[in-house]
Amino acid sequence: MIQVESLVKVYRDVTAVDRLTFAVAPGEVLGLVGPNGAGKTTTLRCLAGILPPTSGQLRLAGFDLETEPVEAKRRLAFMPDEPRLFESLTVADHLALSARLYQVQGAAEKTRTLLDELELAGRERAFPSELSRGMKQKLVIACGLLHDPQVLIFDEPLTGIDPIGIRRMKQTILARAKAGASVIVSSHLLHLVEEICGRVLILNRGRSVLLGTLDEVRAVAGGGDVSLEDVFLRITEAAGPASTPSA
Amino acid sequence: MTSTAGVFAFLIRRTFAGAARRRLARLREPRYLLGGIVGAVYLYFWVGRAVLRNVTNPHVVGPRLQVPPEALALILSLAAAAVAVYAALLWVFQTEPPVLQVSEADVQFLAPAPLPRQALLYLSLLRTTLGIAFGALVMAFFGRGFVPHFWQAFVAAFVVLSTMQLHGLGLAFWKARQAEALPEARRLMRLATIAVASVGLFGLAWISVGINRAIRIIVSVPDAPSALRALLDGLAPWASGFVPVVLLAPFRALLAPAFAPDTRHFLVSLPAALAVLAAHYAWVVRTNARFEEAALEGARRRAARAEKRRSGRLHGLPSEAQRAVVPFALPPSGRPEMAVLWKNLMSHRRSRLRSAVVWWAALTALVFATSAAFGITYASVAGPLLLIPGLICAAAASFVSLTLPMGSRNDFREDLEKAAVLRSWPLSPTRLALAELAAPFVTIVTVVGIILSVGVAAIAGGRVAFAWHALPAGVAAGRMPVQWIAPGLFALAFLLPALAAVVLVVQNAAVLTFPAWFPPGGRRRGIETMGTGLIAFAGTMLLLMIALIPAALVGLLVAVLGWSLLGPWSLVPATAAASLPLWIEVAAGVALLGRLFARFDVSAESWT
Repeated sequence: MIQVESLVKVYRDVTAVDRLTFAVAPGEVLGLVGPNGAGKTTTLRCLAGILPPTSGQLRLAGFDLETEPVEAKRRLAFMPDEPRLFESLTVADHLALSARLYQVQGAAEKTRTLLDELELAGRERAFPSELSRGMKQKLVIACGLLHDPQVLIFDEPLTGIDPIGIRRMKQTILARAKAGASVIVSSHLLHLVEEICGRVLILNRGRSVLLGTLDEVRAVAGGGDVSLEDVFLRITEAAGPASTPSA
Repeated sequence: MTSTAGVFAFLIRRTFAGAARRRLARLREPRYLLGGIVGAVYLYFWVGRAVLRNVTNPHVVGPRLQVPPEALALILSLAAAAVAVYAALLWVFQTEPPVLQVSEADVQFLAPAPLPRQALLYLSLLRTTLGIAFGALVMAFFGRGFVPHFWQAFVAAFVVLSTMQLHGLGLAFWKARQAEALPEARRLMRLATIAVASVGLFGLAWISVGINRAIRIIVSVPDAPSALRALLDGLAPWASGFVPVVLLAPFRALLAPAFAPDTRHFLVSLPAALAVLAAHYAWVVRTNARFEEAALEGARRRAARAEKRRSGRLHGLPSEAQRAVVPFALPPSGRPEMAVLWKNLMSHRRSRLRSAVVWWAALTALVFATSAAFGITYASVAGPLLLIPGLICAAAASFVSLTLPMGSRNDFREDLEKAAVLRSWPLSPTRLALAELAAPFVTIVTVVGIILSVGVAAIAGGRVAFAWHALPAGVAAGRMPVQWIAPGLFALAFLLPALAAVVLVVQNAAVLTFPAWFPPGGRRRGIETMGTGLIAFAGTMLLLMIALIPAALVGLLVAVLGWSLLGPWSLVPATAAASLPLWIEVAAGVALLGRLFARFDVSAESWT
């Protein structure tokens, strides 16, 4: 379960996220969409405990991120848009590091499964500099999934991944949700969001513009057989350019 | 055809101008300005003033080391033999492909341009020459006490370094051609390799004979002042034999200006050295090898080096076998801090901690056995054995404890670049801070431990020798304070780890508090970076002195109280007690680091 209540994040004089409230139930996949600068990454980084919120309450799997950060993070996996890996560690080392950090039981077996699932088998001794961007992304995801997190946060999970990898990734996300995890997927690929997300949250200028199931979102945008892309464009164009978030 | 020289002149001029403008633009930021000023002042007082004085008045070279001319001739022959051995090793073992000093942009723009096909080779030689000229200037500066004239030293160093560089490049081209040559030509080339290797072998044998003869002369003379004269007289026939005079003639010709006792000898010897240099230049330029491939290889390596520098990973990737090496097995259960320690130890070096312990034990045992054997064989060295190795080890351990924490990067100083990743880990900030400091601390303690153990082992060996010869301990090393050495080493074992921990805390606090001034990640270059480094050093020293005040008071009190009972050994409880306030400061520092990390602003890189 992910609970966000009145989240506000202010950078100096710029309000990146403004009184954002939403929740993601276990087994649910929420799509987070919005134009550049809408506050998506900031929201996700606050949820991952990377950025402290200016105000508001964040709870992951029942644990308050401010008062019980370690317990909350133990149940979380955050997959950032830019894979940041340790240059001196091999693929296998990264997985061993994650296993220890998150105290993973049966790590060896899970590692093997994930390496196969994410097509990293055979590259265990490779260093990040020897991996393509897509493979780095897969390694970050493998590290994130190793401890069977109850909360999964994906920031642009498909960047740099090949078509087969994309299909597997979608299956992985859905399988994790089916197993009871609460999942947030932030992406500019609206067809991906349409395909795998049960609900959608559209952000603009740090504020929630729309939150609901795909049908509810379509209904707000006039109903009919419109795509999420149409809805998104109508809503964001109506709100104007988002390059200067409101203070 | 476009003028090659004109193109190069333009390229180098614009490159220097662009780099200078970029540097100057950076000085608009206060941190670079202050760093630049501090760095420039430091460089001026340390090097610049002396160089300027020598350039404007080359005869003022400071205190000169008076070396007898016959000793200089002897050193010249030895140096020539050493260079011959080095050349032989190169000829036998050098397998690297030829590499030109050019960038990817050089290749992209100059290779397809209407220039001679050697253009990239000339550019590479020009760049290398500029680098060598700078290196020769530095060598002349440091060698100014040994030569009568600053510029003489510069020219001699320039000729030697340029020739050696050209030799390496020419050999690489030559070997590349060898691989493609016809069988007959290949046989001839192999004969040339054997010939050069033989000269190297003769040189090595000649050095060995000389060392053997020198040892016999030194052992036979009664006192030190007469030893030098006896050595010079005794080695004269050896130094004027066939090997140094005939076989090593080209090497002597190259090195002769560097060892000329005066300007007249320098000028006389210079033409021959220049001839050797010119011959090498002709060899490289006329090789008619695949300059294009060498340029591409050079550009690739240069780009890889730049990438390594950017990422802070200056050494290459480990070998396939090395990749499986981890400092210790990391099971998935246990304290998560161990995972951070494990990761950071590998960031420094992939080696097993167990192997380090084995080496430690082996080295200590070897030093003990050698010291004892030496002391038993030569009774006269038993006394100094109790003192000199201990003093050296104490100084080395103290130096390492202060410099290694400053030079280490495998803590927050490297990891802060990935602050977002660290933040998402299920670790409280204080525990994370402790874990981050652990890897450099373990490394420092290991190194200091090895050094101190070696000192103690040498003293223990000396004691065995003393017992063997039944010598009274009081006359161990004359008036030297021998009785202080062993307690001093044990005392340092208590004090130095605490000191190193304090320095680590201060250095990490600097990065967390002023990340703009002391940016995390790879090492950067430039005078302004050196300046900020000096500021950090001065700050660390100041804080260290403040941190040491309570430790010094406590230590002094315990030493005074324990003196009547333990004598010099009161140093041990004194430093143990002195380390307590330091550890308390470290604990407070770790808590502070945790708070600083919790408040560390990652928004600068996260803001989208």
